[in-house]
Amino acid sequence: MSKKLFIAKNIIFLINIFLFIACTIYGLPQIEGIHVVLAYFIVVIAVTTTAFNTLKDLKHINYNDKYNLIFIVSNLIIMFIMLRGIFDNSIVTNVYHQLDEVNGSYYRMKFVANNLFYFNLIYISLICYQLTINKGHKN
Amino acid sequence: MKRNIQIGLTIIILTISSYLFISNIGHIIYLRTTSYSYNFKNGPEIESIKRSLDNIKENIKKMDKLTNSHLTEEELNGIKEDLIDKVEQIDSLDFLKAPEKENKMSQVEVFKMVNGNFTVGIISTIEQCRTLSNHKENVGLDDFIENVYLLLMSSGEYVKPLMNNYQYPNKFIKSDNDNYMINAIMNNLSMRINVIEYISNLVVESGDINE
Repeated sequence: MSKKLFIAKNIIFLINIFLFIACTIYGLPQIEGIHVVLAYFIVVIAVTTTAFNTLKDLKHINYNDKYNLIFIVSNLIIMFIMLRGIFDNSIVTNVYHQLDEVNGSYYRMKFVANNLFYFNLIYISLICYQLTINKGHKN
Repeated sequence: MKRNIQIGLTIIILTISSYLFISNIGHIIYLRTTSYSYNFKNGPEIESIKRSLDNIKENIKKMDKLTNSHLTEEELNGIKEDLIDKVEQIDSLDFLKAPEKENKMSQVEVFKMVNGNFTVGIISTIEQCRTLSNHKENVGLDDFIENVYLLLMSSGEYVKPLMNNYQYPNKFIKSDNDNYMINAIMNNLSMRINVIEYISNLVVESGDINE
């Protein structure tokens, strides 16, 4: 069960990274705001630390169920919001969306950017949580 | 100590996640269920639009009998065909067909209304005005430009509230739900049709009517 949760956590995290890249392609960096810059910075830290922890010593993989479960739940919500930002046209049901796709995706990405503050809080909390876990031991 | 920190962080993460989940569900419901109501029967715009539409149709008929026009035959036919197209587009607008009852419109229906409104284009109208101004001094270009300005400004007015959809409903200002947007769409359409009517009048005045 612990290993399955760990694998699920990593898969969801990977999907979220791909979605974040998709949001970047759709124009997320064009949205102004400190949250956007901070989000990129935090994503880089989160990816690096996760990859580092996983690759450093595979025997000491973190099987902390509580952490993995919280990680999965919060990342599923983040995934839901990014998917809405990419695909949900009802967010911008205005005429410019039809006439100009760039404008349409801009306002959908603005919706994602409005949520980046919460994404940052979640990822900072998750990184802090990870730091409190003793490596290689189940809590 | 570590355990207390973990409990605190867990509470923070779960609280934010729950807030995001509930807000998003609320947002989806909001976008799909919000409706705008407008009583077309009591709106003066409908009568104005219908009157202008009848006048344009009458003018199109008169154009067939037009002689000695200072417009060339090619220009006259071009303007006439465009006017016929526009009259067909205006006739096909759903909200003009059944104005008797108070309509409740969802966001999607308002979106369709905006799209339908925009098909009555302004670019060809401007081109027609330019053609007319080549021939006659009495085009009233200043009035026309002022009219176009108002037209573009009112377009922005009703698109603005729809653009606010990227926010969660709890951030909406209440007045955004009021019916002024429908009024703005109707006023915008009314102004477009007035410009078209004005052009059709000018075309008819460009020559003699052979009764």
